Amino acid sequence: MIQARVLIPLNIRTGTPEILPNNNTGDKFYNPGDVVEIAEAVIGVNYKENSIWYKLVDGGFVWSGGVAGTNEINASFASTLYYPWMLNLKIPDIWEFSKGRGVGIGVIDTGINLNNKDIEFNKTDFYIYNTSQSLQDSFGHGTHCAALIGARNINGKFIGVAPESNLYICKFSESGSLSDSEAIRYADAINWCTSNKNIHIISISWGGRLRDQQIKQKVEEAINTAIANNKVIICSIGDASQDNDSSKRYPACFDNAIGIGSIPVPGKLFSFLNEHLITITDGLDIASYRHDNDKLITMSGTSQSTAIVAGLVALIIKKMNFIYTPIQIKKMLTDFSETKQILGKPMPCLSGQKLIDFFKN
Amino acid sequence: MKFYCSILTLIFCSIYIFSFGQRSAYYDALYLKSQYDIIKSLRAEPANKELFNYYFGKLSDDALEDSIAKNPFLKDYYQPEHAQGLFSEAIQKGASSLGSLNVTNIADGIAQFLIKRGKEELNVAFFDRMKKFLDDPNHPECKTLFPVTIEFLSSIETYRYAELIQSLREAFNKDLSNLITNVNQLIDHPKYKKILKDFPEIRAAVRTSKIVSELSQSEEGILPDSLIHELATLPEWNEINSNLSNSLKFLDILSQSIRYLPVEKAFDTASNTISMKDTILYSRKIDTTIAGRTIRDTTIHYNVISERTIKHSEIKAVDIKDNVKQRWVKLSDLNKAFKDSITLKIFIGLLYEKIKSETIQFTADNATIKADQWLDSNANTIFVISGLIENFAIQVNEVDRAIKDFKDKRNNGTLNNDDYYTYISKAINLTEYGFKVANIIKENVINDEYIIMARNSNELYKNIYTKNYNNAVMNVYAILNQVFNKLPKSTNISEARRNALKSLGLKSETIEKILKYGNFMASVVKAESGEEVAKALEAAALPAGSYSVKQKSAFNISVNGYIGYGFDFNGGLYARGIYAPVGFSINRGTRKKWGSTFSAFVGLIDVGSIATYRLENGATEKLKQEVRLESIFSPSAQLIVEPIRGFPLAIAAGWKRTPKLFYSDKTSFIAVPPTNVFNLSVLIDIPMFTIVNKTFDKK
Repeated sequence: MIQARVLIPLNIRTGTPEILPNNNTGDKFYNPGDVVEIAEAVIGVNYKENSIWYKLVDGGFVWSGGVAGTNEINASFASTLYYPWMLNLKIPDIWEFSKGRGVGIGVIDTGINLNNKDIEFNKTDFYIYNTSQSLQDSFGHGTHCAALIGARNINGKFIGVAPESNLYICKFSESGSLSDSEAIRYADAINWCTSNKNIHIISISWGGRLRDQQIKQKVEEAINTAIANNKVIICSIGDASQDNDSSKRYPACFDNAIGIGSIPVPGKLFSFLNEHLITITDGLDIASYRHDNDKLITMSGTSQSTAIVAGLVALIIKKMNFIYTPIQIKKMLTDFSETKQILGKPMPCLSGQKLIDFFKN
Repeated sequence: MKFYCSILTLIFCSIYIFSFGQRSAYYDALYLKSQYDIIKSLRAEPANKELFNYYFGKLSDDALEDSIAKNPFLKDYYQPEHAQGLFSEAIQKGASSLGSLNVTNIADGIAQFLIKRGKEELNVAFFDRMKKFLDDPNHPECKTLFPVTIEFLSSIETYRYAELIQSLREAFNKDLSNLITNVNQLIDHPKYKKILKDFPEIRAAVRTSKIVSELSQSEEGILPDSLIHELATLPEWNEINSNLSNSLKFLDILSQSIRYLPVEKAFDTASNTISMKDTILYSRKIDTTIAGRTIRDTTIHYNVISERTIKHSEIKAVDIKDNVKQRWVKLSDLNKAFKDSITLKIFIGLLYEKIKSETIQFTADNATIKADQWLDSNANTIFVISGLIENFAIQVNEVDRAIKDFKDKRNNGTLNNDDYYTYISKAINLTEYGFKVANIIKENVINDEYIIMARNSNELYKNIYTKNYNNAVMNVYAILNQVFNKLPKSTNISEARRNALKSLGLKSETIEKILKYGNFMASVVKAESGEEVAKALEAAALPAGSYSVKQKSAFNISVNGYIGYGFDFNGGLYARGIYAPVGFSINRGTRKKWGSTFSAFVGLIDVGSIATYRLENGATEKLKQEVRLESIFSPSAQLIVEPIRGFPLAIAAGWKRTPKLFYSDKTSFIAVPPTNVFNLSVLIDIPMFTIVNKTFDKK
């Protein structure tokens, strides 16, 4: 509990940390000079460019902009303001050096929630597998991943890893799966990204077996072409149902892709483990935006880890002033990883310290 | 043989009791359908790994996906390319859980069943076989199985069976009530081990009793579905008849596949949580309607942070309120779920994998078909399979309802025999359904003999349960007749089995004898008055014409009665007149068509003297006769010839000691002392019981 002095007349909001007509029950408010007892800091609605709210010991929320000493207070509550995975990767610290401004990220997935103002994306330049379909995400996976990469925190509820990056939406599926023949859309979407000079990173939180050899070849060719055009291809190594499964999922297991896995959690989360796995990071219960409203939802898996890493790569590319190569990025991700013994075996785990060290230098 | 009968009874009667495993295909299908609704593909993930392991075995994800892609019912719902990272709050919001069934009184029923089965054994001429075992030092195990009975039998003479039958029956009851314990003690007997090796039926019986015993000793008592599961997995069935074994397994899988899984058991009452380990977390709000559960998504808070546990006191409260005791998913819920063709196909697909993994196959007419092949062949005519499942669901729901009614009435104290009957009848329908299914898969794999046996066994169980012992004896007779006389002649039985049955040496006449004695004993057990005992004796006496049995026998010992007129050589009053002795007759017949039968008769009683003396002696005419035991006790030794084959006329000559007669009125008492006389009699032969009968060797 932290005590703080109120600077301006400050309403007490009930229920959720936002300003609504009916959540100031009894018109309760604090006058300047009053002291409030703060239980925790939370991310709430963005008001005057400030989305941090304080939850009071006695219940209710007040906007942090009306309280003195917010920097110190926020520092005290840093662990609740940002999700643990963000803190593990020291992303708030990295933002002091880069928020990914100008970096283009193609998100090949199930589309986007067109109505969430927190997720900004290029509304004129996008790929869709069928032009008669809407870009609107009807499934949720695409929105979740895209928001993880680049949500701007305009709503004050959630911020992505690279909040100033440019998202390019590539909708290649309506649902969570594709058939053998539909897998050609990987190639189509990658090729579209390749053709877009503003895209630097292609994030694919999907994986499959690419059983059709001709399609598999075309997808690999598309990746090779993308690499040749200096696109960094970040792919999900794939969620395994058990530990120590070396099954291969594509496109992550193409040589030019960067396979991203999740830190395994017994009984809950496993990644396929093979030579194409470059690094792992948190993937369990990762919150991000839903596709059908502006609320958050958690998902777990290598998709989320991939989106996080894609955002991180955007931060890196910006830090490098866009002077990079995919191979270089791949090596950097390896270098930024430290080997940890997880479930009895060494695993390359993305290190927040190494990352911040890079950005600081 | 007794064990054979018993085990058949157990096999067929126990099928109504349900299997218990770790999963239910019904819920699993609903879960996978909910996953499919979201992802549009079936895929493995940690949350459903155990589910897939159960049906497909432990496979790598690639191998599992290959298997799904090959499954004729699931292949349409598999896509090879997936969005990753979906298994979380998005698809795991609702809750369903595993759990065990409540303890039921079925355990009691089984225990009672075993005891009553034993009573049934009593009815099938248990005396004689037990006596033989007693006399045979090669069968010391009898002393383990039936210590009280043996002690009793050892202390009485054979001829006292009839008068001591009630005491004997009590002795039997004592032993049979401890049968489970006794049988299990027997398992370690060296001699018995040899028998176990040679006769899988017996082995199965012992193992069954052991299972029942172990289950009944568990804290929760016998869980009916676990019992059927244990029974279905006994290897001995295969040695008896593989089709029988496989139909049991098939039924077990069907039963498990639509087993009802109550929610409350998944909760740790201490922490009021469900953990991922013992629950399956299902997706979205559709789960609110699963199996009519009253859980609502809105009442559940899924805490994704704290180790994926569900914490909400309301869940438990709701479930306690629900408190459903059913064993299987309600028919209405099942129908509702299966209206969705994808759910139905997923369900059958899971069933298919389970059946495939169990290698269930049926053989008839030198051809074998695997059950999964049959399912595969009907992949495009799925209504055939769904109809089979629906019919099964109807049957089990009937049993569920019957059990509920049964328990309600018992709790209310209004249970009667009709309720037993209803309950068991429903169970019988279910039992037979297992064989119907097998025969649908391949015609005639469970042939008439087994179905008849099953029905008789089921009827037997029902009759014992409802204490209708006479009908039970008829069932035993039918079973034995089927097993030992008709089955060996069947073409659907292996040579080894045929020889094994033959080696038991049971002949038609033996089985007939079992019927006769069994009926007699059942009637005596059931009798509540002297008249009823008399009727039982009358019914048990050999039918008219039965004298011909001994006339055609090489050697015959029977309890025999005669009635006719006697002349005494002493010129006295006592032995002249009606002569109606009852005793033991040792007979020797003849091969000749018109040959004579010679008998040595040892009489114990004579009911004719009472009437004769009264008729012949005017002094006692007006006196009241007191009939004491001595009044009919009249030992005699007679040589008897029946000169005309095919006619029960007997001529007897020999010694007898007349009974002591008593007459009295208010002022006088006359005791007529016994005396020794030699007599000649013309009699009608009335055999009552055949004790030993040896026919002429066929030449």
